[in-house]
Amino acid sequence: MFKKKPQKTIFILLVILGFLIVMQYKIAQTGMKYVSFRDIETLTNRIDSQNFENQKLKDKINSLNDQIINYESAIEETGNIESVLIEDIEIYGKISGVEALSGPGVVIIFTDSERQLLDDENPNNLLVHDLDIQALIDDLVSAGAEAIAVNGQRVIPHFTEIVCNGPTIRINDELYSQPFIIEAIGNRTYLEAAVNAPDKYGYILKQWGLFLEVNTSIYLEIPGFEGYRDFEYMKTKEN
Amino acid sequence: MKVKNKNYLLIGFISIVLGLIISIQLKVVQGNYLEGSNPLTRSIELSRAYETVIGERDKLLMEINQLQTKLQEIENDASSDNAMIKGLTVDLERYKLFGGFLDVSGQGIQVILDNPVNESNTTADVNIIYEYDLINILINELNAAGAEAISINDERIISISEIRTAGSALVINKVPKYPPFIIKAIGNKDTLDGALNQIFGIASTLRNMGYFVEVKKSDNIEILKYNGIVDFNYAKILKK
Repeated sequence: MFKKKPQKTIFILLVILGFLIVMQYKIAQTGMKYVSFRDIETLTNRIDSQNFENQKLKDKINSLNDQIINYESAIEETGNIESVLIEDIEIYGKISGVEALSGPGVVIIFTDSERQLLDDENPNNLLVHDLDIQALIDDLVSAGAEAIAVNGQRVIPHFTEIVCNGPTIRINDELYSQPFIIEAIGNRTYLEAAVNAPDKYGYILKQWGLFLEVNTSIYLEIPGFEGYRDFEYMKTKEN
Repeated sequence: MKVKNKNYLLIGFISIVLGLIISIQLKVVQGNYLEGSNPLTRSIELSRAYETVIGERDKLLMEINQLQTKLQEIENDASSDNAMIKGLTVDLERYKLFGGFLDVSGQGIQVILDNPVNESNTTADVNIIYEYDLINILINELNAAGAEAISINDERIISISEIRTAGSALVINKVPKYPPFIIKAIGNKDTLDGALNQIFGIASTLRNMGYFVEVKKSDNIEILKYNGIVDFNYAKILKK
Protein backbone atom coordinates (compact mmCIF):
# COMPACT_ATOMS: atom_id res chain seq x y z
CA MET A 1 0.00 0.00 0.00
CA PHE A 2 2.74 2.43 0.97
CA LYS A 3 4.81 1.45 -2.03
CA LYS A 4 2.00 2.24 -4.43
CA LYS A 5 1.08 5.69 -3.14
CA PRO A 6 3.89 7.32 -1.18
CA GLN A 7 2.49 10.77 -1.96
CA LYS A 8 -0.61 10.11 0.14
CA THR A 9 1.44 9.08 3.19
CA ILE A 10 3.75 12.05 2.85
CA PHE A 11 0.74 14.33 2.52
CA ILE A 12 -0.76 13.06 5.76
CA LEU A 13 2.55 13.36 7.60
CA LEU A 14 3.01 16.92 6.36
CA VAL A 15 -0.48 17.86 7.56
CA ILE A 16 0.41 16.54 11.04
CA LEU A 17 3.70 18.44 10.95
CA GLY A 18 1.81 21.59 10.07
CA PHE A 19 -0.47 21.16 13.07
CA LEU A 20 2.50 20.59 15.34
CA ILE A 21 4.26 23.74 14.13
CA VAL A 22 1.12 25.82 14.64
CA MET A 23 0.67 24.42 18.14
CA GLN A 24 4.29 25.07 19.03
CA TYR A 25 3.99 28.63 17.73
CA LYS A 26 0.84 29.27 19.75
CA ILE A 27 2.41 27.95 22.95
CA ALA A 28 5.54 30.01 22.38
CA GLN A 29 3.37 33.12 21.87
CA THR A 30 1.74 32.80 25.29
CA GLY A 31 5.21 33.00 26.78
CA MET A 32 4.78 29.84 28.80
CA LYS A 33 7.06 26.86 28.95
CA TYR A 34 6.21 23.23 29.33
CA VAL A 35 4.48 22.69 32.69
CA SER A 36 5.25 19.47 34.49
CA PHE A 37 2.69 17.75 36.67
CA ARG A 38 5.08 18.13 39.59
CA ASP A 39 4.80 21.92 39.31
CA ILE A 40 1.02 21.73 39.13
CA GLU A 41 0.98 19.53 42.21
CA THR A 42 3.25 21.91 44.12
CA LEU A 43 0.99 24.83 43.30
CA THR A 44 -2.13 22.93 44.32
CA ASN A 45 -0.49 22.02 47.61
CA ARG A 46 0.54 25.59 48.32
CA ILE A 47 -2.96 26.91 47.66
CA ASP A 48 -4.37 24.22 49.89
CA SER A 49 -1.99 25.09 52.72
CA GLN A 50 -2.59 28.82 52.35
CA ASN A 51 -6.36 28.36 52.51
CA PHE A 52 -6.01 26.61 55.87
CA GLU A 53 -3.83 29.41 57.16
CA ASN A 54 -6.23 32.11 55.93
CA GLN A 55 -9.06 30.43 57.80
CA LYS A 56 -6.99 30.58 60.97
CA LEU A 57 -6.21 34.24 60.38
CA LYS A 58 -9.93 35.01 60.00
CA ASP A 59 -10.64 33.31 63.34
CA LYS A 60 -7.84 35.34 64.88
CA ILE A 61 -9.35 38.59 63.56
CA ASN A 62 -12.68 37.67 65.13
CA SER A 63 -11.05 37.00 68.49
CA LEU A 64 -9.12 40.30 68.31
CA ASN A 65 -12.33 42.17 67.60
CA ASP A 66 -13.91 40.52 70.63
CA GLN A 67 -10.93 41.54 72.71
CA ILE A 68 -11.19 45.18 71.62
CA ILE A 69 -14.87 45.16 72.56
CA ASN A 70 -13.90 43.70 75.94
CA TYR A 71 -11.35 46.46 76.51
CA GLU A 72 -13.75 49.20 75.49
CA SER A 73 -16.59 47.93 77.65
CA ALA A 74 -14.21 47.57 80.60
CA ILE A 75 -13.13 51.20 80.17
CA GLU A 76 -16.76 52.30 79.99
CA GLU A 77 -17.77 50.36 83.07
CA THR A 78 -14.83 50.76 85.45
CA GLY A 79 -12.73 53.45 83.84
CA ASN A 80 -9.67 51.24 83.43
CA ILE A 81 -8.66 47.93 81.90
CA GLU A 82 -7.22 46.28 84.97
CA SER A 83 -9.70 43.38 85.07
CA VAL A 84 -9.24 42.61 81.36
CA LEU A 85 -5.48 42.71 81.68
CA ILE A 86 -5.49 40.31 84.62
CA GLU A 87 -7.70 37.96 82.62
CA ASP A 88 -5.36 38.24 79.61
CA ILE A 89 -2.32 37.50 81.74
CA GLU A 90 -4.04 34.36 82.98
CA ILE A 91 -4.89 33.24 79.45
CA TYR A 92 -1.39 33.85 78.10
CA GLY A 93 0.21 32.25 81.17
CA LYS A 94 -1.95 29.21 80.53
CA ILE A 95 -1.27 28.83 76.81
CA SER A 96 2.41 29.64 77.02
CA GLY A 97 3.03 26.92 79.57
CA VAL A 98 4.04 29.06 82.55
CA GLU A 99 1.03 28.36 84.78
CA ALA A 100 0.38 25.12 86.66
CA LEU A 101 -2.69 23.37 85.23
CA SER A 102 -5.18 20.76 86.34
CA GLY A 103 -7.67 18.62 84.49
CA PRO A 104 -8.52 15.12 83.29
CA GLY A 105 -5.93 13.06 81.45
CA VAL A 106 -3.68 10.01 81.46
CA VAL A 107 -0.76 8.81 83.56
CA ILE A 108 1.84 6.64 81.84
CA ILE A 109 4.32 4.57 83.81
CA PHE A 110 7.35 3.64 81.74
CA THR A 111 10.38 1.63 82.87
CA ASP A 112 13.03 -0.75 81.57
CA SER A 113 12.08 -4.28 80.65
CA GLU A 114 12.39 -7.08 83.20
CA ARG A 115 12.72 -9.89 80.69
CA GLN A 116 15.97 -11.83 80.24
CA LEU A 117 18.30 -10.97 77.39
CA LEU A 118 18.13 -13.32 74.44
CA ASP A 119 21.39 -14.79 73.15
CA ASP A 120 23.66 -12.06 71.81
CA GLU A 121 20.95 -9.47 72.26
CA ASN A 122 21.94 -5.85 72.68
CA PRO A 123 21.05 -4.70 76.23
CA ASN A 124 19.93 -1.39 74.70
CA ASN A 125 16.80 -3.18 73.49
CA LEU A 126 15.56 -3.39 77.08
CA LEU A 127 16.35 0.15 78.20
CA VAL A 128 14.33 3.35 78.12
CA HIS A 129 15.97 5.92 75.83
CA ASP A 130 15.48 9.64 75.42
CA LEU A 131 14.11 9.02 71.93
CA ASP A 132 11.43 6.68 73.31
CA ILE A 133 10.13 9.34 75.69
CA GLN A 134 10.39 11.96 72.96
CA ALA A 135 8.32 9.83 70.58
CA LEU A 136 5.68 9.05 73.24
CA ILE A 137 5.34 12.78 73.92
CA ASP A 138 5.05 13.55 70.20
CA ASP A 139 2.17 11.09 69.97
CA LEU A 140 0.48 12.70 72.99
CA VAL A 141 0.86 16.22 71.57
CA SER A 142 -0.58 15.07 68.24
CA ALA A 143 -3.54 13.62 70.13
CA GLY A 144 -4.27 17.08 71.54
CA ALA A 145 -2.61 17.00 74.95
CA GLU A 146 -2.85 20.44 76.53
CA ALA A 147 -0.15 19.99 79.17
CA ILE A 148 2.48 17.29 79.61
CA ALA A 149 4.91 16.55 82.43
CA VAL A 150 7.61 13.90 82.85
CA ASN A 151 8.41 13.06 86.49
CA GLY A 152 6.84 16.34 87.52
CA GLN A 153 8.81 18.42 85.01
CA ARG A 154 6.68 20.35 82.52
CA VAL A 155 7.39 19.56 78.87
CA ILE A 156 6.61 22.25 76.28
CA PRO A 157 7.53 21.77 72.61
CA HIS A 158 9.02 25.24 72.14
CA PHE A 159 11.59 25.07 74.95
CA THR A 160 11.99 21.62 76.46
CA GLU A 161 14.80 19.34 75.47
CA ILE A 162 14.79 15.64 76.29
CA VAL A 163 18.35 14.43 76.07
CA CYS A 164 20.19 11.25 76.98
CA ASN A 165 22.62 11.83 79.84
CA GLY A 166 24.31 8.50 80.61
CA PRO A 167 22.02 6.49 82.88
CA THR A 168 19.70 9.48 83.29
CA ILE A 169 17.67 11.70 81.02
CA ARG A 170 17.92 15.48 81.06
CA ILE A 171 14.69 17.45 80.83
CA ASN A 172 14.78 21.25 81.19
CA ASP A 173 18.31 20.97 82.62
CA GLU A 174 17.14 18.63 85.40
CA LEU A 175 18.21 14.98 85.58
CA TYR A 176 15.70 12.15 85.88
CA SER A 177 16.09 8.40 86.05
CA GLN A 178 13.55 5.65 85.65
CA PRO A 179 10.76 4.91 86.38
CA PHE A 180 9.43 7.65 84.13
CA ILE A 181 5.95 8.88 84.92
CA ILE A 182 4.43 10.85 82.07
CA GLU A 183 1.28 12.84 82.84
CA ALA A 184 -0.84 14.51 80.17
CA ILE A 185 -4.00 16.61 80.38
CA GLY A 186 -6.49 16.32 77.54
CA ASN A 187 -9.21 14.08 76.15
CA ARG A 188 -8.67 10.81 78.01
CA THR A 189 -9.89 8.56 75.18
CA TYR A 190 -7.67 10.20 72.57
CA LEU A 191 -4.62 10.24 74.81
CA GLU A 192 -5.02 6.60 75.79
CA ALA A 193 -5.39 5.64 72.13
CA ALA A 194 -2.31 7.69 71.25
CA VAL A 195 -0.26 5.25 73.32
CA ASN A 196 -2.11 1.96 73.03
CA ALA A 197 -3.37 1.90 69.45
CA PRO A 198 -1.53 -0.54 67.16
CA ASP A 199 1.23 1.14 65.16
CA LYS A 200 1.63 3.89 67.76
CA TYR A 201 5.05 4.16 69.36
CA GLY A 202 3.85 3.05 72.78
CA TYR A 203 2.40 -0.14 71.32
CA ILE A 204 5.70 -0.90 69.56
CA LEU A 205 7.64 -0.33 72.81
CA LYS A 206 5.40 -2.83 74.57
CA GLN A 207 6.13 -5.35 71.83
CA TRP A 208 9.83 -4.90 72.58
CA GLY A 209 9.12 -5.93 76.15
CA LEU A 210 9.46 -2.57 77.89
CA PHE A 211 7.12 -1.93 80.80
CA LEU A 212 4.50 0.62 79.80
CA GLU A 213 1.21 1.15 81.60
CA VAL A 214 -1.45 3.74 80.78
CA ASN A 215 -4.07 4.79 83.34
CA THR A 216 -6.72 7.42 82.86
CA SER A 217 -7.43 9.88 85.62
CA ILE A 218 -10.18 12.45 86.11
CA TYR A 219 -7.90 14.87 87.93
CA LEU A 220 -4.23 15.58 87.33
CA GLU A 221 -2.04 18.42 88.46
CA ILE A 222 0.78 19.51 86.17
CA PRO A 223 3.29 22.16 87.28
CA GLY A 224 4.18 25.19 85.20
CA PHE A 225 7.39 25.54 83.23
CA GLU A 226 10.07 26.70 85.64
CA GLY A 227 12.96 27.46 83.33
CA TYR A 228 11.40 30.81 82.52
CA ARG A 229 14.24 33.15 81.74
CA ASP A 230 15.14 36.38 80.10
CA PHE A 231 16.08 36.05 76.50
CA GLU A 232 19.61 36.75 75.38
CA TYR A 233 19.27 36.72 71.62
CA MET A 234 15.60 37.26 70.88
CA LYS A 235 14.23 40.78 70.50
CA THR A 236 10.70 41.87 69.76
CA LYS A 237 10.25 43.55 66.45
CA GLU A 238 9.03 47.12 66.63
CA ASN A 239 6.05 47.66 64.38
CA MET B 1 -4.71 -17.60 5.90
CA LYS B 2 -5.56 -19.11 9.23
CA VAL B 3 -2.31 -17.94 10.81
CA LYS B 4 -2.89 -14.43 9.52
CA ASN B 5 -6.36 -14.29 11.09
CA LYS B 6 -4.93 -15.32 14.44
CA ASN B 7 -2.35 -12.55 14.25
CA TYR B 8 -5.03 -9.99 13.53
CA LEU B 9 -7.03 -11.20 16.52
CA LEU B 10 -3.99 -10.91 18.75
CA ILE B 11 -3.13 -7.43 17.54
CA GLY B 12 -6.75 -6.40 17.94
CA PHE B 13 -6.77 -7.67 21.51
CA ILE B 14 -3.52 -5.91 22.38
CA SER B 15 -4.86 -2.70 20.85
CA ILE B 16 -7.93 -2.88 23.05
CA VAL B 17 -5.74 -3.31 26.15
CA LEU B 18 -3.51 -0.45 25.05
CA GLY B 19 -6.54 1.77 24.48
CA LEU B 20 -7.85 0.97 27.95
CA ILE B 21 -4.50 1.76 29.56
CA ILE B 22 -4.18 5.05 27.70
CA SER B 23 -7.69 6.10 28.67
CA ILE B 24 -7.07 5.18 32.33
CA GLN B 25 -3.88 7.21 32.29
CA LEU B 26 -5.66 10.19 30.77
CA LYS B 27 -8.47 9.95 33.29
CA VAL B 28 -6.12 9.73 36.25
CA VAL B 29 -4.14 12.74 35.07
CA GLN B 30 -7.28 14.70 34.38
CA GLY B 31 -8.87 13.82 37.69
CA ASN B 32 -5.85 14.40 39.90
CA TYR B 33 -4.08 17.34 38.35
CA LEU B 34 -5.91 19.05 35.54
CA GLU B 35 -9.61 18.95 36.42
CA GLY B 36 -10.85 19.26 32.87
CA SER B 37 -8.38 21.58 31.18
CA ASN B 38 -4.95 21.25 29.58
CA PRO B 39 -1.74 21.64 31.59
CA LEU B 40 -1.06 25.17 30.41
CA THR B 41 -4.46 26.64 31.23
CA ARG B 42 -4.57 24.71 34.47
CA SER B 43 -1.22 26.08 35.60
CA ILE B 44 -2.28 29.63 34.71
CA GLU B 45 -5.51 29.10 36.65
CA LEU B 46 -3.58 27.79 39.63
CA SER B 47 -1.08 30.66 39.57
CA ARG B 48 -3.96 33.13 39.64
CA ALA B 49 -5.64 31.24 42.47
CA TYR B 50 -2.35 31.23 44.37
CA GLU B 51 -1.95 34.96 43.91
CA THR B 52 -5.49 35.43 45.19
CA VAL B 53 -4.92 33.45 48.39
CA ILE B 54 -1.59 35.19 48.98
CA GLY B 55 -3.30 38.55 48.50
CA GLU B 56 -6.01 37.48 50.92
CA ARG B 57 -3.38 36.45 53.45
CA ASP B 58 -1.61 39.82 53.17
CA LYS B 59 -4.90 41.64 53.72
CA LEU B 60 -5.75 39.49 56.74
CA LEU B 61 -2.28 39.98 58.22
CA MET B 62 -2.62 43.73 57.75
CA GLU B 63 -5.99 43.71 59.47
CA ILE B 64 -4.56 41.69 62.37
CA ASN B 65 -1.69 44.16 62.70
CA GLN B 66 -4.09 47.10 62.70
CA LEU B 67 -6.26 45.49 65.39
CA GLN B 68 -3.22 44.72 67.49
CA THR B 69 -1.93 48.28 67.25
CA LYS B 70 -5.37 49.46 68.30
CA LEU B 71 -5.25 47.15 71.32
CA GLN B 72 -1.76 48.40 72.07
CA GLU B 73 -2.98 51.99 71.95
CA ILE B 74 -5.82 51.26 74.35
CA GLU B 75 -3.31 49.63 76.71
CA ASN B 76 -0.88 52.53 76.42
CA ASP B 77 -3.60 55.11 77.04
CA ALA B 78 -4.74 53.26 80.12
CA SER B 79 -1.25 52.67 81.51
CA SER B 80 0.08 56.18 81.00
CA ASP B 81 -1.60 57.39 84.17
CA ASN B 82 -1.67 54.21 86.21
CA ALA B 83 1.48 52.45 87.47
CA MET B 84 -0.39 49.27 88.37
CA ILE B 85 -1.73 48.83 84.86
CA LYS B 86 1.71 49.58 83.47
CA GLY B 87 3.09 46.70 85.54
CA LEU B 88 0.38 44.40 84.29
CA THR B 89 1.05 45.33 80.67
CA VAL B 90 4.74 44.54 81.11
CA ASP B 91 3.83 41.15 82.59
CA LEU B 92 1.49 40.44 79.69
CA GLU B 93 4.21 41.29 77.16
CA ARG B 94 6.63 38.93 78.89
CA TYR B 95 4.15 36.06 78.75
CA LYS B 96 3.38 36.80 75.12
CA LEU B 97 7.08 36.86 74.28
CA PHE B 98 7.66 33.59 76.08
CA GLY B 99 4.64 31.86 74.55
CA GLY B 100 5.43 32.86 70.97
CA PHE B 101 2.75 35.49 70.45
CA LEU B 102 5.07 38.28 69.30
CA ASP B 103 7.20 38.77 66.18
CA VAL B 104 10.85 38.44 67.14
CA SER B 105 14.26 38.79 65.52
CA GLY B 106 17.83 38.06 66.45
CA GLN B 107 20.84 35.97 65.53
CA GLY B 108 20.26 32.32 64.73
CA ILE B 109 20.18 29.72 62.00
CA GLN B 110 18.03 28.77 59.05
CA VAL B 111 17.71 25.13 58.02
CA ILE B 112 16.38 24.15 54.61
CA LEU B 113 15.04 20.61 54.41
CA ASP B 114 13.96 19.16 51.10
CA ASN B 115 13.43 15.94 49.23
CA PRO B 116 16.39 14.44 47.36
CA VAL B 117 17.50 16.73 44.54
CA ASN B 118 17.63 13.94 42.00
CA GLU B 119 13.97 13.46 41.13
CA SER B 120 14.27 9.82 40.17
CA ASN B 121 15.09 9.00 43.77
CA THR B 122 11.87 10.47 45.12
CA THR B 123 9.68 7.46 45.44
CA ALA B 124 6.74 7.16 47.77
CA ASP B 125 9.07 5.86 50.47
CA VAL B 126 11.77 8.52 50.33
CA ASN B 127 9.84 11.64 51.19
CA ILE B 128 10.69 14.15 53.88
CA ILE B 129 6.99 14.36 54.80
CA TYR B 130 7.14 10.89 56.31
CA GLU B 131 10.12 11.77 58.53
CA TYR B 132 8.14 13.74 61.09
CA ASP B 133 9.89 11.89 63.89
CA LEU B 134 13.27 13.11 62.61
CA ILE B 135 11.95 16.66 62.35
CA ASN B 136 10.77 16.35 65.95
CA ILE B 137 14.26 15.21 66.93
CA LEU B 138 15.70 18.20 65.07
CA ILE B 139 13.45 20.55 67.08
CA ASN B 140 14.55 18.76 70.25
CA GLU B 141 18.22 19.29 69.31
CA LEU B 142 17.55 22.97 68.70
CA ASN B 143 15.91 23.24 72.14
CA ALA B 144 18.86 21.43 73.70
CA ALA B 145 21.15 24.00 72.08
CA GLY B 146 19.17 26.81 73.68
CA ALA B 147 16.90 27.98 70.88
CA GLU B 148 14.63 30.81 72.02
CA ALA B 149 12.15 30.75 69.15
CA ILE B 150 11.53 28.21 66.38
CA SER B 151 9.32 28.22 63.32
CA ILE B 152 8.77 25.82 60.41
CA ASN B 153 7.56 27.42 57.17
CA ASP B 154 6.47 30.48 59.19
CA GLU B 155 4.42 28.36 61.57
CA ARG B 156 5.64 29.23 65.08
CA ILE B 157 6.29 26.33 67.45
CA ILE B 158 4.32 27.04 70.65
CA SER B 159 3.44 25.12 73.80
CA ILE B 160 1.00 22.75 72.10
CA SER B 161 2.48 22.55 68.58
CA GLU B 162 2.22 19.14 67.01
CA ILE B 163 4.31 17.95 64.07
CA ARG B 164 2.89 14.92 62.32
CA THR B 165 2.28 13.41 58.92
CA ALA B 166 -1.25 13.48 57.55
CA GLY B 167 -1.77 12.26 54.01
CA SER B 168 0.82 13.90 51.80
CA ALA B 169 1.45 16.86 54.09
CA LEU B 170 3.25 17.66 57.31
CA VAL B 171 0.72 19.17 59.70
CA ILE B 172 2.04 21.83 62.08
CA ASN B 173 -0.42 23.71 64.30
CA LYS B 174 -3.20 22.05 62.26
CA VAL B 175 -1.98 23.72 59.02
CA PRO B 176 -0.75 21.36 56.26
CA LYS B 177 2.76 22.26 55.07
CA TYR B 178 4.67 20.96 52.07
CA PRO B 179 8.41 20.74 51.29
CA PRO B 180 10.78 22.47 51.12
CA PHE B 181 10.68 23.09 54.86
CA ILE B 182 12.44 26.20 56.11
CA ILE B 183 13.16 25.88 59.82
CA LYS B 184 14.26 29.07 61.57
CA ALA B 185 15.64 29.25 65.09
CA ILE B 186 16.87 32.18 67.18
CA GLY B 187 19.66 31.61 69.67
CA ASN B 188 23.46 31.51 69.74
CA LYS B 189 24.14 30.83 66.06
CA ASP B 190 27.37 28.93 66.59
CA THR B 191 25.87 26.66 69.25
CA LEU B 192 22.79 25.95 67.15
CA ASP B 193 24.84 25.29 64.02
CA GLY B 194 27.24 23.04 65.92
CA ALA B 195 24.43 21.05 67.51
CA LEU B 196 22.93 20.18 64.13
CA ASN B 197 26.16 19.65 62.20
CA GLN B 198 27.79 17.47 64.84
CA ILE B 199 29.27 14.28 63.42
CA PHE B 200 26.52 11.60 63.36
CA GLY B 201 24.16 14.42 64.34
CA ILE B 202 20.69 14.95 62.97
CA ALA B 203 21.85 16.78 59.82
CA SER B 204 24.17 13.98 58.80
CA THR B 205 21.47 11.40 59.58
CA LEU B 206 19.09 13.15 57.21
CA ARG B 207 21.80 13.60 54.57
CA ASN B 208 22.67 9.91 54.71
CA MET B 209 19.04 9.12 53.96
CA GLY B 210 19.39 11.21 50.82
CA TYR B 211 17.59 14.39 51.87
CA PHE B 212 18.79 17.87 51.10
CA VAL B 213 19.86 19.67 54.28
CA GLU B 214 21.36 23.14 54.37
CA VAL B 215 22.20 24.98 57.59
CA LYS B 216 22.91 28.68 57.34
CA LYS B 217 24.02 30.98 60.15
CA SER B 218 22.59 34.47 60.11
CA ASP B 219 22.77 37.60 62.23
CA ASN B 220 19.22 38.57 61.50
CA ILE B 221 16.60 35.85 61.63
CA GLU B 222 13.00 37.02 61.77
CA ILE B 223 10.37 34.73 63.22
CA LEU B 224 6.69 35.50 62.99
CA LYS B 225 4.28 35.24 65.91
CA TYR B 226 1.70 32.49 66.22
CA ASN B 227 -1.37 33.73 64.41
CA GLY B 228 -4.13 31.56 65.74
CA ILE B 229 -6.32 30.93 68.72
CA VAL B 230 -5.32 28.49 71.43
CA ASP B 231 -8.33 26.95 73.09
CA PHE B 232 -7.93 24.72 76.11
CA ASN B 233 -10.97 22.51 76.69
CA TYR B 234 -9.65 20.33 79.50
CA ALA B 235 -6.89 22.11 81.38
CA LYS B 236 -7.69 24.72 84.02
CA ILE B 237 -5.34 26.94 85.95
CA LEU B 238 -4.41 25.37 89.27
CA LYS B 239 -5.41 27.78 92.03
CA LYS B 240 -3.03 27.75 94.95
